[in-house]
Amino acid sequence: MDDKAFAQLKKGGKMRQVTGGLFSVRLHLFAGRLTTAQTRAIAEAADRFGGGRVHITSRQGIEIPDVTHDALAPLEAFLAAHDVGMGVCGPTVRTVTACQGTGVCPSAIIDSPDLAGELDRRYYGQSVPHKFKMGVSGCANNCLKAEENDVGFKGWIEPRWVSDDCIVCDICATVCPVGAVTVLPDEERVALDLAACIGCGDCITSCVSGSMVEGAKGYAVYAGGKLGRVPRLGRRVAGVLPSREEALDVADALVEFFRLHGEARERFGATLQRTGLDALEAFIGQRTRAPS
Amino acid sequence: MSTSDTPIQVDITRDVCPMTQVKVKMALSAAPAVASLRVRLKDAALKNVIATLKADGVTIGAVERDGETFVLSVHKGAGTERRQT
Repeated sequence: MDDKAFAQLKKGGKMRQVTGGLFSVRLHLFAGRLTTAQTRAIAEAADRFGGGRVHITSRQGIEIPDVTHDALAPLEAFLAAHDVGMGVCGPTVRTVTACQGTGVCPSAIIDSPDLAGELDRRYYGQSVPHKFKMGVSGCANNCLKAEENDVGFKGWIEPRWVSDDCIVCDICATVCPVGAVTVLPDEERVALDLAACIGCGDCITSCVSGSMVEGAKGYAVYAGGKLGRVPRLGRRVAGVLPSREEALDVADALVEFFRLHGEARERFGATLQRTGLDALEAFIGQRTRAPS
Repeated sequence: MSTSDTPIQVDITRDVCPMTQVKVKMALSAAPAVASLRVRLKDAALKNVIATLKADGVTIGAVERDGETFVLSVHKGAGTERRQT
């Protein structure tokens, strides 16, 4: 096989190992979700076509290593028959990660696997200028690390203070982990620094008088993050998006922006460094109705 | 037996989550149908304990503070409810 043939296999998730003419085969899944039937099929495939083991990747993926070249096609056919697809590599949209979301986690604000599933359906494996990763965290606890993705989403609750019944007890300011709440007892009011707010909602949960209530609630978006050799945290773009549809509209705009302005082997964050974040914000404003 | 005039003292300043919530729930469960409690707690326990109290449908009235220690005046039972959040 020549390098071109190996590269083609790699793009389809079949990556050549360093020794023995073997391949590590990446599988397609999203949000770390598998049915038990799929899990059993992967185990059987690893036994029949690989070396009897699997590798859990750092982004909720699974690879079956130690597969010979001759076994690649039978492995793919076997897994396809059990509703398990092949993964991708190269300049494509990669595995969409997600936490368990509102269906499982009491802290979650958004249905993370649901959004991840739709992102996966729209984008998985599609060609883009360079590798492109998406992840969805259900809340400010950020278990799925939204900021380390090219595009990350995070469940968000912005507080709003209403003066009725407030007893200026200082609990909201005490529980705020970032000092975004200041109680001004002499003025009998509470000041919010929404630029510093991390959208956790602790001040709302802890308010004993009902004076701190939910303001904007939904999806926060981060763009341009990555880890790897030179880590870079994604930057927040757009406002708090109240619905799944608006979150998806912004995702569409971000991918489109990358396709228009990204260069080969340039991650999204580097593209944004060239264009400036303002250009992206303006583009989102043109393509969506997202709040700024 | 406690009445709403003689608050039940609940001190969870030496406890950590989840025992803070467990002790508050046990105190509420053991209290009469109508009762007042004074829950003494550290700031680190505020969020979870207040969330537990709200979920149990009781009312939190006055709040006193002494450094890192807070005292919540809690009212359980019919006739004591105010607007719940």
